[in-house]
Amino acid sequence: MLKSLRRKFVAIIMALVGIVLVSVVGGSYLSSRQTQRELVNEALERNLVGSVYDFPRIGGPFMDDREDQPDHGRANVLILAIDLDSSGMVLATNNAPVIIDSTALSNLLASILQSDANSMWDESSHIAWMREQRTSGSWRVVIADTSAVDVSLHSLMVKDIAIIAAAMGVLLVIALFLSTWVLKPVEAAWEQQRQFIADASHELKTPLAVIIANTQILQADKAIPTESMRWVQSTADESAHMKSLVEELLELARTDETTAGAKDVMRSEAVDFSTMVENAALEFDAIAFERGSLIEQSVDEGVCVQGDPEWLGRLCKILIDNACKYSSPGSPVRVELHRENKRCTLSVNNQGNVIDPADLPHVFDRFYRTDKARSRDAHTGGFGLGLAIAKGICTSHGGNISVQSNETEGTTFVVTLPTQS
Amino acid sequence: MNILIVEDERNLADAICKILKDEGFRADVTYDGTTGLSLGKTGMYDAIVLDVMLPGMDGLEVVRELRRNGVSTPVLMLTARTSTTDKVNGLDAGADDYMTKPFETVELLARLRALTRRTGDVVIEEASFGDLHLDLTTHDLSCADRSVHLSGKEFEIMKMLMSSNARVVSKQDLLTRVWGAAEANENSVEAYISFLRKKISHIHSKVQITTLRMLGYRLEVIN
Repeated sequence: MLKSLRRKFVAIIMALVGIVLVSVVGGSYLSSRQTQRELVNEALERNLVGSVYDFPRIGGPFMDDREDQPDHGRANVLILAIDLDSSGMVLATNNAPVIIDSTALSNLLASILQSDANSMWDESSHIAWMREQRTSGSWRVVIADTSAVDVSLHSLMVKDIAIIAAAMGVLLVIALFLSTWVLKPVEAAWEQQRQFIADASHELKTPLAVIIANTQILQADKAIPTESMRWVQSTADESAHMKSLVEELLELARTDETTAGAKDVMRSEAVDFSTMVENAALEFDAIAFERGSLIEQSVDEGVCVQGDPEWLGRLCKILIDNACKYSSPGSPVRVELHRENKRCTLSVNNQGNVIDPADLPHVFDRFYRTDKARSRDAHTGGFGLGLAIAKGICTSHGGNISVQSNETEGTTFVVTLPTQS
Repeated sequence: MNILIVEDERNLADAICKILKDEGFRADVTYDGTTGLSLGKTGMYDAIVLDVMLPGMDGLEVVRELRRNGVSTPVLMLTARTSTTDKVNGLDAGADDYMTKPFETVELLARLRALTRRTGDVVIEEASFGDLHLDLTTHDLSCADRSVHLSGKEFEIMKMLMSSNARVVSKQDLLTRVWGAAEANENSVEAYISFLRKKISHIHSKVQITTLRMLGYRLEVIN
């Protein structure tokens, strides 16, 4: 439980900071891309009008010859400007000192004139262009080389991604460290609660032993009148109930301890799970028969599981006992064990007493009873801890347990456990 | 039969003492380990019921000290702890048996009787037929290293079949002896016989329950 809490904590931190980081760095990249492209576009637009062509200066602020003022918001960009007539013949150029292959230039001009758009930024060939048709029908085409902008933007993106990756890596280390620190009190509270349940159960055992022994003395006492014996009997029954409750609470505390990582609580040995399931099913033959149902078993031979034989046996008995309790008379209880790759599946099915879908997620909760009105009646017995213990045993053996319930197929509990080869 | 009870929980000690006396044992009670040890050393007891958690000297030390002094009186340990390691510690210290609180008095009496049995006493704890063995205290039916637990009625039926030793046991006999006349139903007998057959084949025994029409059932060894 703590492990999954810790995983969630780390995941939430990583997701939150990750989203913020990606949006900040991504936003800054997009804004710098827009600024850089605007500088080139602005220079293109400048050359699209009038008859005066600028040549870029080297160094210093941009000087607009027409206004004779330095402009710090504009950049010096080399632009090739070409005037063409409506058929595409070159009328004039600004004689910009650029090198371009003549076929490549004529192909480019042809494609510019055929284009539907009036401007384009082509990253693959590092060219940006704009065009404008004059009233006379002739064209002004302006072309700029964008390799400086494209290359700088590309390298910016690579660096941004590297920064995000490095930041996430550092963050993961910090989040892992933080999670142990933050979860320490939770872990302590969890451990305290488990210890409290274990201690309380132990403390209850001796007084309970006295009550049970005393009622047994009273039951054997011939001097007690019959009408008073009724009260002795009910005390004996209730203390027997309490005895099983205390024992189940302790069992639950032990499975919790194993799930929390304690090693010495559970034995670990190779268990012949097939024989164990068959044995458990055979033990319930008579009990099922007295309740008017029969146990049908279909068990794959030779399924071997690593674990504590006492606990695994308890798991089988809890599930079969539960199925016998809730099976409707005359219908069978089906116990099946099948091997699947490196896992095995134990399923226990009974007909009747369908569990309400709203109750399904809670059947493994402690003291949860689907039928509140009938809780702890004489027929079904139990205290609603059996399935919680079953879940604890599954988890501590590296397996899991689930339940399905509907009108046609009845109720099925399915346990999957890793097998040994 | 003389039993020493060493238990610091006075109410429990007194209750155990009363139960033992009602069952015809003689019993002495002491509430601490040190007194328990000196009484135990006298060797005048047939068995000692010893709590693990005791003031002064704990139960494990008492057993160890008794064994060191050559006292071999059987010791039944009582404890609230249930884990296997606790059990092993108790048995390693020299205890003969181990019970966890809270316990059924019937079980306490049964275990005390088992502990106080003298060697040489003829005790029938097990019934057997062919390769089948039936433990009369635990109700386990076993064959070689495989075993299966029998429910109350299955156990009674098996015991009757085994004790009749290959002679036929009639359905009527089973009904009256196992079910009592009140809830007699022949179908139940057949169902329980089938459960027993399943269990016998599960533990790979060569014994089988044969039905003799109109007569009843008997055990047979098949080859």
